[in-house]
Amino acid sequence: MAPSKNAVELMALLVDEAYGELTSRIFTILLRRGRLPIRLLSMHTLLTPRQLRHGLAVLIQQGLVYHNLEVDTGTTFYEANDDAAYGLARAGKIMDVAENRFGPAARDVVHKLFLLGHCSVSDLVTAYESKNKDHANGNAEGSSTITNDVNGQSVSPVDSIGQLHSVLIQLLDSGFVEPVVRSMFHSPEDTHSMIERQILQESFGGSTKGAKQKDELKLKIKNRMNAIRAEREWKGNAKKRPLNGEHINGINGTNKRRRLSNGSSTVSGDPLIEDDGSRLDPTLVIHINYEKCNVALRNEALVAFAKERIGEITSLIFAQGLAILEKKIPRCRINPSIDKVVDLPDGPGFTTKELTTVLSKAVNPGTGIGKASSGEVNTRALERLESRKHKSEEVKIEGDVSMGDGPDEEPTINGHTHLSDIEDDDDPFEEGDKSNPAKRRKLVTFQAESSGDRENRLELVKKHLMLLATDDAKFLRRTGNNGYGEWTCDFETLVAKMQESEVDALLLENFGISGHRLARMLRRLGKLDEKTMVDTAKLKPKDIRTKLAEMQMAGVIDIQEVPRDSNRTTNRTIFLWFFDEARAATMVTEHTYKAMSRILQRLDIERRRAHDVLALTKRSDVRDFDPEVYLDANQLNDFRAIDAKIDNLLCQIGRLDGLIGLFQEF
Amino acid sequence: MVSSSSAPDLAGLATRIYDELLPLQKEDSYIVFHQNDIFDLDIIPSDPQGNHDVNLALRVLQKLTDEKLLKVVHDPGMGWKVRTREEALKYRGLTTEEDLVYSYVDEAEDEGAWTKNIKSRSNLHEAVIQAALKKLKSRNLISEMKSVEHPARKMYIKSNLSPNDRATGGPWYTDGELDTVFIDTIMNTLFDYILKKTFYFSKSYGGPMKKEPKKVIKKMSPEEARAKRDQVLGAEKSEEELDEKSKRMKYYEKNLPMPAGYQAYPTLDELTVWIEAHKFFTQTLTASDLQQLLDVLEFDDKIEKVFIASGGLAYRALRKSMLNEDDRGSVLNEAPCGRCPVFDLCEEGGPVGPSNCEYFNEWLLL
Repeated sequence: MAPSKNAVELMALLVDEAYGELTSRIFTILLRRGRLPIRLLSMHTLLTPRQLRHGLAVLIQQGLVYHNLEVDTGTTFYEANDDAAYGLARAGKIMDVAENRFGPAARDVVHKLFLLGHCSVSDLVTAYESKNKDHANGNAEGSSTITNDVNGQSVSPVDSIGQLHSVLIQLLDSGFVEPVVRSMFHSPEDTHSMIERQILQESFGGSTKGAKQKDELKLKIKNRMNAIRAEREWKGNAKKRPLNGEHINGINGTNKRRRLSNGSSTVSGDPLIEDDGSRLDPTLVIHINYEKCNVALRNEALVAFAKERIGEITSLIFAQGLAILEKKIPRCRINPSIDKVVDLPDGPGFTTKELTTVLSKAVNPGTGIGKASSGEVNTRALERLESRKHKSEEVKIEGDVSMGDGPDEEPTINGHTHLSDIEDDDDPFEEGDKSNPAKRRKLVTFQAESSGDRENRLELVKKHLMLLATDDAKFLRRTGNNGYGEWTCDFETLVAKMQESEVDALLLENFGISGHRLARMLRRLGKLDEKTMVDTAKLKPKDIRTKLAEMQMAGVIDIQEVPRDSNRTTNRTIFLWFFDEARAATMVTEHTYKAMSRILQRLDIERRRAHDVLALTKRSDVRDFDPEVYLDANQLNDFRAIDAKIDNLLCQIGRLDGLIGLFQEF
Repeated sequence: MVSSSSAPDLAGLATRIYDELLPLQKEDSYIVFHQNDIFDLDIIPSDPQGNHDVNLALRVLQKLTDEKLLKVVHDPGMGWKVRTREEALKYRGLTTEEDLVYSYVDEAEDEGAWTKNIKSRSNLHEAVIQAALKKLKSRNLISEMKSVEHPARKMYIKSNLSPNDRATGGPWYTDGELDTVFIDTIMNTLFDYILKKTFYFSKSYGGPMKKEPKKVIKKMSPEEARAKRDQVLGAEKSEEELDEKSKRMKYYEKNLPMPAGYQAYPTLDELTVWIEAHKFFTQTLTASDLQQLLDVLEFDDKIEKVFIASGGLAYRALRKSMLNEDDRGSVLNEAPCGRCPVFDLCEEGGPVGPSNCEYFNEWLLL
């Protein structure tokens, strides 16, 4: 889908902001006009070929432009990569995620990679070496504003090359950074058509006949595309490092355990990464993998959503569950022309047990859920749970813990039938919580060595998971009973629900309670005429009419005329109102794009207005010092003011980007 | 003479028939009497041949009809309905046209008669009808009414009747107008009740722990417990210093969800009984009335349905409904652009644009 006018404007501004006007000019033309050879590009941009080549080199370095040499004609076509361009707006967020997971060193490395585009490991090493040396001369790069001095010794959080390698390996393992392969410089369409041509030549002698052969061709292309994509996956070939290649295609049970132990070290452990002696191949070329980063960002958004709907503690447990899933999910949206769409109903999942093992000790699953007496929870379901317990007991005795199908796959009707057996006296809010260990242990006699605490924790975590599954948004779905319950997350429906809730929030704010009510009514009940709406919404007809007109003007809802006879006179026509979810979503996206562009433009203006002060702070002789040291009072005030403004604007861009993510990428 | 011998007979027969029919009519207001029903009463003597004396019956019934004690209806074929004597009194002294108009209003009962219908059915001239209506109104026989379904129609109803639910719109209408204040009050009452039943308020809940917890303490000595309690209480004291918003958020955080499968969420029946028992409103609200309001609350995204084990539906409040509008808004509306009235025109170099945007000036100076 070609990017819209607003999106083009935004991307041009983003490229301009990051890499300057020359590149932005070329990029905009490419976005607006599609793929172009250099001659036409020169014509449209009014740039000399020399300037053009400079600009294109930068753009290709940053992965913003695809290029493809057409063998028949000998011309090279250039094409804009809009995903990467939009990724620039997300850079800050990705760096934040990297810092949260792997510490400030990772943030710095990711930041460097953003600046460099794609680069080889050795280049990165050189960059850091020179930086550290420069710093000794008091001349470090401007990027040091983001550092937060961990060791108190160095401005850069990466202080040895060994550490750099370890950080990179972690980033590669997590998928945030991926090796660059040749095919990445071609646009997906080019790659597709190239493969098609090849396969046609090889297997079909130039052309296909009939539907059967066409399907065959499609399948072959898909396989080939898949193979090409597999090429770029990080195979973990660093020395001294256990192979960890399955993190992407992962439905592989055998590696679960070890991966978990990795996971727990990042969650509960110290995020500082030490040099563990492993080294990467210096010729390995790497860049930021936006697709995987989006998965991480999506998880964060989902957790925030869970927090809003259920509660903080539950959301933290959900976050842990998603973190387990994240390792098995390479990208948010699967592309049907490349990915093998598996018919399995369940995506990757996790068990309660796995989750509890890696759950941070800081999260106390005993809190966060209200207390209810056992009379108020479903007793029939409790019995059923009891019987299931017996069966799983047998399974455990056989030593078959994580393999095999669930012994009694019950249909999980609304999920709420599976109740945990928290007892009356188990008050999660009591400090001691030790009042009746004997009774509790009675339920879990089969596990001799583990304490009641551990079991209890499992049960408590399960309670939270159940809450997630029974919520209207269906955060989780139960797929089996092994390991105290297996869970999976249906991202598509969940994201749809989130989008819906976001649109609702917007409607509520823009059109008030009545507008919100009407729109939701139309969404739920379909097309309605005014009279029905008066009845159902309990609003005055006059109010409804004005509100509907207002919302129609804004393009949120629309009207359909159904003539009752062939005359099509007004009084023989039924008018039906309807709410178009997809259109509302597009509208939100477009507005967001536009708002982001405006904020970026305003940012530029603010910067220009405060040019004097900003220029001062950028002077090479003072830029390593705190502005407070060398600015006089007035200048300092100005600086603070502009700093706050810039912060505000950038922060808002980040927040708006969340919306784009929700509606476009997740 | 036949007529002289049967004349007194006629009045007596009429009274006897009327007295027989009236209780039946009272029992079932929809009943219509036909010719056979009259003969079945065995009041009208048979003619010499032993057949039903149709002629006599006709005269008797005509007499009753003239006295307005019977009214003729078409229910396939000819039939009669009985009027009470008081009712019949009202008809006396009316002209034929007035009589006709009144009978239509009468027939419409509590639904009310639309003037246009009266006109088309009576085939009378507009002016005649208007005059008749005026006269009837002045004699206090009929009164105007408003129908919620058709607010524009001019309708009349017999004075001693009140319009039915379809015309008044049920409990939600006062004087033909939707009583939004009343509706909102009930909705808020319902919502507050559901809210109270949905969440568990925990005084001690303080969010996730900031630090790693120490090894679990097996047993606390009383001193330790006291120290801990003081700590908690102390912490609560310091909370008072928080500003309005964080205090609100704190309160919000402390409302915890109930466990999955919780059965005590209020059901429609429970709510109906509760509303009825507390006599919040003078009107009696039925379950289906309340159901309508619960649906509206659901459309407002304040409550949602949950299935409970007894097979029924219960309602629970949504967490975000506890926040007021300032605390939850769309991200898009935070920046000035989301609320900008001229956003469509906004363009750099245009009449309005980011460089001369007043909203931005204001926002950035905040």
